[in-house]
Amino acid sequence: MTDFTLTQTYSLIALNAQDSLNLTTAKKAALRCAAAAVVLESYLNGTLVAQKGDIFTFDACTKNDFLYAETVLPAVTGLGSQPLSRFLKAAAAISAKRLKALERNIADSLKGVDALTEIPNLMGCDYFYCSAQVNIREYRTQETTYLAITEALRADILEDVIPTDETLCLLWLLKESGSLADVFSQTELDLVMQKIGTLLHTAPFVKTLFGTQLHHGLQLTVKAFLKSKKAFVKTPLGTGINYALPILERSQSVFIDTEAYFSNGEKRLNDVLERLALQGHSCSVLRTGEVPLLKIDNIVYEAIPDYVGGKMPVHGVRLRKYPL
Amino acid sequence: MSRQRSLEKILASQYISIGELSRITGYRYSTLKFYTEEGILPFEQAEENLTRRFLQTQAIQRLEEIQALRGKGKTMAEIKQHFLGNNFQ
Repeated sequence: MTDFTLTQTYSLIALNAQDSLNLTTAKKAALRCAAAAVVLESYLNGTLVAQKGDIFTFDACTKNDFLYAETVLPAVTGLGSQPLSRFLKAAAAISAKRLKALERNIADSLKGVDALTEIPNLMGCDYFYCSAQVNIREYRTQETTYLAITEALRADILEDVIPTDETLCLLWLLKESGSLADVFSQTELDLVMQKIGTLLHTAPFVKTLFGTQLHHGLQLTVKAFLKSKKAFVKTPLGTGINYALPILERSQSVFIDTEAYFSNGEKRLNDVLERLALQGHSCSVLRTGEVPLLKIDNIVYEAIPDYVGGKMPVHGVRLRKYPL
Repeated sequence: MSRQRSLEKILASQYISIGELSRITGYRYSTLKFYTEEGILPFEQAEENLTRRFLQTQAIQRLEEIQALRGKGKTMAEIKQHFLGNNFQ
């Protein structure tokens, strides 16, 4: 276990399972909050100091040891004396180019301590993506680190104690990026909101922080819609519907083409295993036969013979998550 | 409001909170809460509704013991019997 900064801690939760190569809507929402996290980190470090009331100013010798801060701080240090919300909004409004630089710097700082890795996404094995040479990779937070961060956060906010400033900042960042539901259950979320409601009346910092809104309604709506769609196709009914209509959720209906037409079960399996190995996935065969059962990256799939139409039909298998 | 303690400070202190225990051991908060409520994880509390404090070394040792018993296939009732029978608390 390592001591992470607020920006790193937040990023380990928010970047987990996000596309690492493209700036998706969900990742953009996460990175805008990561930029705001840099400002909050300055507040926690004491380089963003309170002047009078809720007016803050950056210390003249503001310096952060981490490279990621350099992509955000130039955009906010020149603002002079402003309310905290103004600094947070200015940080979140940095350009997409700077957001990408911020992501790269944060990811590098975390990869250096083995807390974050990039893994291939199964979609990269799909016939359409593979033949178009579209590479898809995603971030994966190291399991024990993720667990230690999220469980410490849950304990701090759900226990009958006054939460620390770091916990409140992290909670606000997760709220604004629409990631709260990744950490808390619905029942816990009600308790969290109750607690924040109580703190709003007693702690001015909480009032300032939770009174600031960074999220773009449309971005969070899109994120929530995509998440619910993915959750639906993971249900038994959704899996069946998605098999018939793969367009519904492509990531859960990967088609892998085989070398030959009317291939037999054994050859089909060999082609699939070869493609998975080529893309860097770990795979073990649990059952052979016409419909083999494969364990790919710890998730069990059935490889069902299928074809995709077009000018010339392409034969292959479609991976369908096996109901356990 | 208070500030979060660094890992170095947590490891050096005698008493730690449940969040800090979760952070350094990697145990789920719900698991630790369950163990405390079952009475098999010792803690100190000055008054009701005050922070539960855990003696760091004692708590970690107890978690290791519980883990070992779970590894031997003991049920939670047997584990509870084991510790409470040993005049625990």
